Amino acid sequence: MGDTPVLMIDDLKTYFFTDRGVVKAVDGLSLEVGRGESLGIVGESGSGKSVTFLSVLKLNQYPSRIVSGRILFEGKDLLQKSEAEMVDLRGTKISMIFQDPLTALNPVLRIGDQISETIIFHQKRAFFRNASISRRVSNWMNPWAQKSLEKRARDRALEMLELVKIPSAVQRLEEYPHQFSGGMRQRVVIAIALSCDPSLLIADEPTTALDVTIQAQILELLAEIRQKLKMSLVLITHDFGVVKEVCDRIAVMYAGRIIELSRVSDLLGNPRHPYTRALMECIPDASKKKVRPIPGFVPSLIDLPGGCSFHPRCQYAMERCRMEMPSLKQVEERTLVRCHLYD
Amino acid sequence: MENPLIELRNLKTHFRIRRGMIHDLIEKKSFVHAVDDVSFEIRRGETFGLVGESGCGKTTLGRTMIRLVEPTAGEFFFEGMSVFDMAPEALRTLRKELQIIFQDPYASLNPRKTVHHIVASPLRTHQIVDRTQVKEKVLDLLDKVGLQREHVDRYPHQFSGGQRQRIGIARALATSPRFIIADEPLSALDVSIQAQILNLLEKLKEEFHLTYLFISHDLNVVSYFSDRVAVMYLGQLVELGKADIIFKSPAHPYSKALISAILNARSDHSKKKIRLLGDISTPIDPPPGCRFFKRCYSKKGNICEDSNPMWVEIEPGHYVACHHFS
Repeated sequence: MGDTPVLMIDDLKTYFFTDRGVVKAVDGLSLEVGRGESLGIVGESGSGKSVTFLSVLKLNQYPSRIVSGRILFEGKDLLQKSEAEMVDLRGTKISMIFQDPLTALNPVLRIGDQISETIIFHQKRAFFRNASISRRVSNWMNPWAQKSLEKRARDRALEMLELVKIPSAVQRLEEYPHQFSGGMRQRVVIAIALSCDPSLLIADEPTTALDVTIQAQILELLAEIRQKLKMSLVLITHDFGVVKEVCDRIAVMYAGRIIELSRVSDLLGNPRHPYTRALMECIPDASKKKVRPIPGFVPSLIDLPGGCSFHPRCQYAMERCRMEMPSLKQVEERTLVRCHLYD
Repeated sequence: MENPLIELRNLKTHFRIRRGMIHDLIEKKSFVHAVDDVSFEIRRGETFGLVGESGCGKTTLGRTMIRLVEPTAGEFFFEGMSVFDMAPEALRTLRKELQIIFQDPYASLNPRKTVHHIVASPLRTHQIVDRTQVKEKVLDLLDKVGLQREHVDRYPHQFSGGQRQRIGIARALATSPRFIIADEPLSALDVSIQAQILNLLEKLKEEFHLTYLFISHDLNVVSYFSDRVAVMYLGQLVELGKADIIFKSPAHPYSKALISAILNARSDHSKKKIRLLGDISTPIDPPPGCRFFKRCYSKKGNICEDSNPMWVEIEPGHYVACHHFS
């Protein structure tokens, strides 16, 4: 195909430098997201899934730092870009939405203003970045420039509310977050994220805080939008069911690395890595008689076991697993596994 | 048939809300109908699941049963004894038999007390064992829930979420109860830890001959763990029956929508999904008629808006409240 992937992460390492030691939150992660593709990232707490994508947006806060690696967005390495260039990218070409819609919205601003805010901010930045002197002067002399920008932003905000299927959108623009339910708020957050037409949307546990019936609505919305806008989506979750619903491929993470990566149907039908298998076996559902918990605990990221990080809990562990970290290898077309069983 | 262990009749828990000084003086009082006329039985040795989405009243129901919240109306019989009529002394004694495990393993343990103190507390309150035996009993309980004896003098913040939940379970078991209300015991835990705690609850149920009321919004867990299930919506029960029947062939439109929305690695994606439009209506001063009326996709007619459907047994042990069946 030869199409440049929208996102390519190459051997990313993000560490937290704490008093107690160095927490290797992401320790050598590589992945690709194609144009229009939907990639699911599954992992439990401490797997590094959120930190990976905060690193993509360079939103790491002290004491965390990207130590090495490359992050290529549409072919350009984000780690070489300045903060100003990142500000221009965040919310425009790459957008991110988080788990709790209530904390993502400003409680004292109207919804319409919150959507417009992003649009106006980026429009102004783009204008001042590119405009010639004469254009700037004529803009400065135009007393209606601001009003006209605001009107256009408002029209766009309305368009976005309609895109995320909020009924009575015109009235809702004037309302405050507390007047919306959880599911509606998440739709508003999605509207803000999409307002500047991103090529990549990163959704970090977007439905975890929502009820089952609302979750279903939001996932359906994301799938529809993705089709309509031909947008790439990265969906971070701990729930295989959610991934199955929305994603093309899935990456499973454990202790800061990807341990399995393949097409959703392949992985769910035939999980290869012992951790993926064990995880699927311990999730209850109506068809199971017993759930088998994974023995042991997730390792401390300050003090990872030698060799493969999963070996202390793995029923298939061999001597080699204690000594050597396996590398992510292709075992079949579009299926990668990090495990000595497949070497 | 044996008498049920738990019998709930027409339970109502309403909370008064204030809307403003003038409003409260002039208008009729406003109430949140958190639990609105709920009746069911729980048999000895059963795991009874209670499901519903946020705001349906399931947590309030659990708390009202043990009188952490006072009921507005209705009756609750435990082994034939009326709990709501009991005098404080008798209630205190009864509390040994009825225990609760809470959802939030971070908020439900006193951060300033050691594990020993937390687990010993019910032992002392109810004088289960005499002073010299308290320590040994606490260590024994820690063994039973899979915690290490050496950790007995540690504080809650030194434990993980799953371990704290085990402490809460040890505390609930201290009085050798017969009935435990598990209010969303797994929601705050990671997936692989959920499986551990679930297995622990199963093991303890066998070992101590417990009966559970398992409250959860996680339908996968409830379908796995429960014998019978009740579905709640806006303070009322809409359906009740054996777990496998409710999950395979639900009768009530809400149950159908809820169950069709369940996602798991095994779910069949070709099956048509029912999408509910809109949001849950308010539990404040609800209008007459079926509570599900506004979101129902299979309304029968005007009757749905005018009157609340009756609780009907459509097959042995399978009950529904819907005008399609009255």
